[in-house]
Amino acid sequence: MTTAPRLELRSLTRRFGGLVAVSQVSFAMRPGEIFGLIGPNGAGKTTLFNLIAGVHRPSAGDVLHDGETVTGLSSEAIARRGIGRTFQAAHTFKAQTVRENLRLAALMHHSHGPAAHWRDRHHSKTERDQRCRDVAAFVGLGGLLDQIGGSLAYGQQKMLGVAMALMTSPQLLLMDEPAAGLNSTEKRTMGELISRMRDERGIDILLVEHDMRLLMSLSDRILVINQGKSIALGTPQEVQADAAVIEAYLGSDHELT
Amino acid sequence: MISLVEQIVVNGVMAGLVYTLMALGFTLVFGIMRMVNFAHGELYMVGAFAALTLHGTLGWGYLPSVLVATGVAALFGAVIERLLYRPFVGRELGGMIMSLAVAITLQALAVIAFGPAEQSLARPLTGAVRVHEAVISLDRAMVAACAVVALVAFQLFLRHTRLGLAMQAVAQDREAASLMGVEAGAIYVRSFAIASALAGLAGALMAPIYTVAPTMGELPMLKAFVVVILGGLGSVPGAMIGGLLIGLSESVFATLFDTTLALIASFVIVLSVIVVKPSGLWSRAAR
Amino acid sequence: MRWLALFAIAALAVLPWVIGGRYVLHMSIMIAIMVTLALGMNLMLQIGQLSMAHSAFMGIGAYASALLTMKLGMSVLLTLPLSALLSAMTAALLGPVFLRIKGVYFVLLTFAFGQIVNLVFQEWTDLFGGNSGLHGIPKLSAFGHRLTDPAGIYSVALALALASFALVRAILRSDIGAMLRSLEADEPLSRSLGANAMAWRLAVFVLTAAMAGAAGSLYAHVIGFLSPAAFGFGLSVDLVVMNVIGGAASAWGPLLGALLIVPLPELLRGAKEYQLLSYGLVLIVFLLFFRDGLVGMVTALARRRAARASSPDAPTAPARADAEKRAA
Repeated sequence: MTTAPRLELRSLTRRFGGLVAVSQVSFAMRPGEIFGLIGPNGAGKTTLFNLIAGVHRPSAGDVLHDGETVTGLSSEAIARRGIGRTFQAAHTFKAQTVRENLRLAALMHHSHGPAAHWRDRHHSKTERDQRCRDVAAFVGLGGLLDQIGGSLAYGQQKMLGVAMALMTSPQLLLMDEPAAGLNSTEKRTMGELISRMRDERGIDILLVEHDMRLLMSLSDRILVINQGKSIALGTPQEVQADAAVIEAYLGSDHELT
Repeated sequence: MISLVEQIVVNGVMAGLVYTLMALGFTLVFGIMRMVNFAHGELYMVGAFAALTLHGTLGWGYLPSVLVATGVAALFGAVIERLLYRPFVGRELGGMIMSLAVAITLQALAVIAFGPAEQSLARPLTGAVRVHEAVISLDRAMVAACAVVALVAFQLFLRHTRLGLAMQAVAQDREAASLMGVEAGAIYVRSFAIASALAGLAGALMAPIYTVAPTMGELPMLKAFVVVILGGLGSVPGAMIGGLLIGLSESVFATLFDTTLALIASFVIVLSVIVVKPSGLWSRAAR
Repeated sequence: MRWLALFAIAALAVLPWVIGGRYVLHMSIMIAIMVTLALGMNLMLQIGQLSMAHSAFMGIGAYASALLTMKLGMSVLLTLPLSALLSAMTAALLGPVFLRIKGVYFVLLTFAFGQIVNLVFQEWTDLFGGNSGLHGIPKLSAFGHRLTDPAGIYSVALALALASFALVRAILRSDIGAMLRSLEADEPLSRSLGANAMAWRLAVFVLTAAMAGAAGSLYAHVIGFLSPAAFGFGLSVDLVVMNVIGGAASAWGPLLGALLIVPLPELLRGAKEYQLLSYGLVLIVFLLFFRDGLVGMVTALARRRAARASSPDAPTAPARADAEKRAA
């Protein structure tokens, strides 16, 4: 008996006018995996990410979640299926407290529309408040519940973004450059959080990242794309040794270790 | 023999040219400052009243009055931009509401200064001329001629002067333009002055054709709005082509049906364009 | 503070009965109708949409109610909710298309729509009476009992206004209000968490259209006569002004705004030219210096007084403070 892959891409393609940003990318994520996505600047990582997250519709190809086609679903529909996402730039409700941010995240998930809000009207406030505290503690923001989102340090804001995604109880978390804008200490904390999310909460993670070292250390498998096409798929060791990958990065500032 | 078709076309083109003048200023301001200026019609009115005062009351010659009236409108525009619109750069909705306030205020000032009644300005030219199988009244012909001159001058200005090129740069990408040393503030006030001048010119030219009243700017504003949506907010060629198209379509509707229906048709077009392609029919892929 | 305001409103609401007289009561009826409309506009502003369509929704409700009573002999008790429903259905039909458009384009879109509806009222004279108006609309009546007494009519108008106020206030202070504000603050984030932005926007659009339709129906039977001019751009501008001057952050703003703006033409009747000028100048001043309106001024004063009373540093500033960034 085989279970469907958590996430599967089949020949996913996206064209913008005459430009092909993503070309026939295919892969399947295994359960319990941290899957990395990497490529040189302008390789199409962000576009690919946005296709999976429902921000753009693909021009061709399919995205499947747990065996069901989710191609072209809106970002909110994707979110309601248990796929969370974080943003490259820290997106939080900056005028609200951390506690309120987390509460709103749960609210937006359960009361996603007027009808849903009506159905959800009897939810336990104490239970949800407890969840907020639990999630905040899990990401390390336990002591900052009453701080205004906008007053947090940038790294903490990104943690809050992760916490908000966690409030929606995702089975799969899509992370768009979680380390972007973070200093080395914050990167380490983020890396630990990502591992813990997989280990302790059983969340599968798709990770787009520029920071090679972080990506290599976290990912079980990595897909390398260049100019919209996938050029290598394998474990970090396999990918680092891959000739095509090395050639793609030749002349760039990145080192592969 | 007068050919109905030719007359409709002639009427349409003449009206269209004036609409283009109005639309150009409106679209310029949006393209450069991302601002929808609901008071644009009032600058048309300012030009008309200035012409009325200079030519009608003070007895100046018609063409000098028109020129000075254009300058007066430009001055009004510059002051309004610097004092009242500048704080709303980047706040589109707030700027829009402010422009409503400015429109109300300018109309009120006109009522206080000139009274609410309609006034007429003597026509500088009388008589009509036959062109092929249509009749054109001479004063409207002059309006059309002046409009054409202004439009050509504007195109030349846009393409061949430093200010014109800077304006295009700011319209396309404010940040990149500032990196190249173009100071946005100076561009804004000058663009606004030019846009107001165009509106004021239209008003001064049209003053003897219809009547002059504090509310006279409302209808031209509506027409400009329709043209600009059709041609694309911020598109200069769109304003030109759109102006002629709307002038023609209105001429057709007004002659064959009635003016209210023509206006309804215009707004239905606007609705459709915004819903289907908000950036207008002539713009490139919007930012 | 809140109890003081509620008490003041209760006192103001009762005042017209106390003072009495046709003139005061008629003015109060109009204020109540405008409060309903201004509250609807406010809710739209909270979701970041400046709608120029609601004057049209009012017009649709007004003409519908008038025609249903005149042509079909229905009772106002029936036509008022039916008119509200008709406006709501129009909004439900147009919403999915209109609400995809944001910002300035939405304003222009709803403006065009409003103009079309208005022109149709003008053009279709057989049905709507055109510019010369639709005359002879029956007054309010319930169960065969005609309501001709202005005090009685005022109670109906007041009920509508109070219900609207209570509803909008409840929404804004509830989780729904928090979600609407957050949706407006960061839509991509909200949607990535699962929020159905379109569903919420549509709900607000339809609800506020129903409010406008109900207000329109009441208006028709109070005035007894309808002309398209009442439902045009000028009304939309007035509603915006009420929210700017009153303050767009809470339900109190449009209430205050309507209270001030509606009697203005009457109060300044002496110097009519200057009425319009002061209108424009006050609006300019408020837009430049008092973006949060009168309610914003009062809240700021209250907060300053509270801050002076307690310790100067407050690390947990009220989160609601920045809901003011909405609207203008």
